[in-house]
Amino acid sequence: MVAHVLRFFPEYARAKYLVEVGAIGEPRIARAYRYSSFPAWSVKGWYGEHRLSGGVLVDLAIHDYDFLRWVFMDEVDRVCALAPPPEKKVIKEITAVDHGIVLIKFRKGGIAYVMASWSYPQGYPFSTYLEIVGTKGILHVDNKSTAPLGVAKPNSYERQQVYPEDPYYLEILHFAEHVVKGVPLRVTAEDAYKALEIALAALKSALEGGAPVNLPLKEEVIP
Amino acid sequence: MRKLKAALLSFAHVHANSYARVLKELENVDFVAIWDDNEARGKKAEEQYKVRYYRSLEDLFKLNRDLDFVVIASENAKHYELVKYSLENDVHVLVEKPFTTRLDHADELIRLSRNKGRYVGICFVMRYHSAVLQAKGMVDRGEIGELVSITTTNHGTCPYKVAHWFVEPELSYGARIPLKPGDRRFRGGSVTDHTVHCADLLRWITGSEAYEVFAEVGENIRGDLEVEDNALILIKFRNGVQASIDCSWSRPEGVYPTWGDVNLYLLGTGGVVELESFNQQISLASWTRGKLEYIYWGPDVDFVMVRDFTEAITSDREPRATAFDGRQASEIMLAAYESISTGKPVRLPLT
Repeated sequence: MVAHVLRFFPEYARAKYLVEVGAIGEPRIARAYRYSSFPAWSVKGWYGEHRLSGGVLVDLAIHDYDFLRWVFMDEVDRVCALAPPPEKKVIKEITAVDHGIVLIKFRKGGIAYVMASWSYPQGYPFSTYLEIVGTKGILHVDNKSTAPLGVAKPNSYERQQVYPEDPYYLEILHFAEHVVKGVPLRVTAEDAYKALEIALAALKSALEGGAPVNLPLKEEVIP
Repeated sequence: MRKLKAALLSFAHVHANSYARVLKELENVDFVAIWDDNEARGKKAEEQYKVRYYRSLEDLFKLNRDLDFVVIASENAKHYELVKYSLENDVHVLVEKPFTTRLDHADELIRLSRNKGRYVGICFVMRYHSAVLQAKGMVDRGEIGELVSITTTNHGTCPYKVAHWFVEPELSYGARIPLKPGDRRFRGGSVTDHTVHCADLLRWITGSEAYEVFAEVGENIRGDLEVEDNALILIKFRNGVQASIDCSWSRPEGVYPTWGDVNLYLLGTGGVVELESFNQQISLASWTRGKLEYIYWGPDVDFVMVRDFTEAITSDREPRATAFDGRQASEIMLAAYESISTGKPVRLPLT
């Protein structure tokens, strides 16, 4: 199983459930943000290396591609993305794409916007936002305004999201249950393949200056 | 100080009542006349504001020779004729957005405004919002370095239950142009209504013009409309800034606690500005009103905008948002439609 851990985050899992039970009708248009300062803690800065991480359009936004595909229960038809060219990058020292904006069109007519960034100033908390609009309503998942804990120290303040059970623990537990008891996998290999395909299409589009890219992909994107 | 004499042409637009209120409130304005092609609506306004209603636009201008300016809040498709007629009658014009839905119309009106020596202002109210001004100031002073990427949204409820013309292609867009091949919808929905505020702010803040636009439209949220009610737009600016607009009517009317939002997330090489313009509201829940509501207490942008327009007239300068600004925002909107129709990025200027 590929670790698409977002499916194990309680707020995202609940949003998926709400869509599934028809709380907002047929999903039509969604927005998903995922942004933070550059993960300076990464070992030898491998996130910053294009060939190792693929940058935000692959490494970071893939969570949202996977989640959106799961919620829309549909395959992607076309992707168009913009990312700052090397000379306009916020973090000059890294080779990976550090900020990107993506339009996704699903086959049955849903559309989505994804923003992913490592370009926020150092000290900016890791933040996510999701909204899904359907034929019967709308739902928002805003991690900033719903964080239950505020922590203030001299010259710093942050809101912390606190989970009853660690989503990473839930993910490993789920996989263990699959291995031991044969519980069906929440993330199949095909899911992971499709999410990666969206990610690579977005990267291809961005590297080609925002040319729309149709799926399925017919060639490798990262040389 | 001489008071400026003002008329309000049409109460079709949902903002008209706010402009009428402001015309009454402004101390340097004498609100003398109302015109509306819907007589019942005009008469109701006459009673409400104690301002004379004219059934004939010709009479309005004939009987108010000393009129200084008009505010136009008609259906979009009538902007061109009303602006033209007003300029021909030598008054300054403040017109609701979008300025026009045809570039040749916009160009003609810009020429006419110059020839007549009368100003045309566009109701890009966001240029008068104090948080927007603060954000623009920070960008201008280089406080977040060089601009790189901007995500914007102008979400809203669909106004069709208050003013149905917003979803009638002839009145909202001025023509019945199919949205894209094989689609039963026509141009004139959320893209017409909600692209231009963000487009204008992006032009104003970046100080640059768009050179490429790509847009996607989804199946409608509301199945009963003849026009689109959602879309996502990517824009490349000449100075390298990349941007997006979500212009969707994606808030369920009658249910959502507020009308929508105008949000800008500006990423610069040296920092970030997050602007959520309409966050200044009080949450109110009561048994009598039946749902949770957000009661806005932020800046009265309509007041500041109309006041600025009167100051532009008295000090003989261009208003903050000119007819040219209106044209350029409309061009981005038209390019989005073109991209939706062709499925390809569209280069500007449009020919």
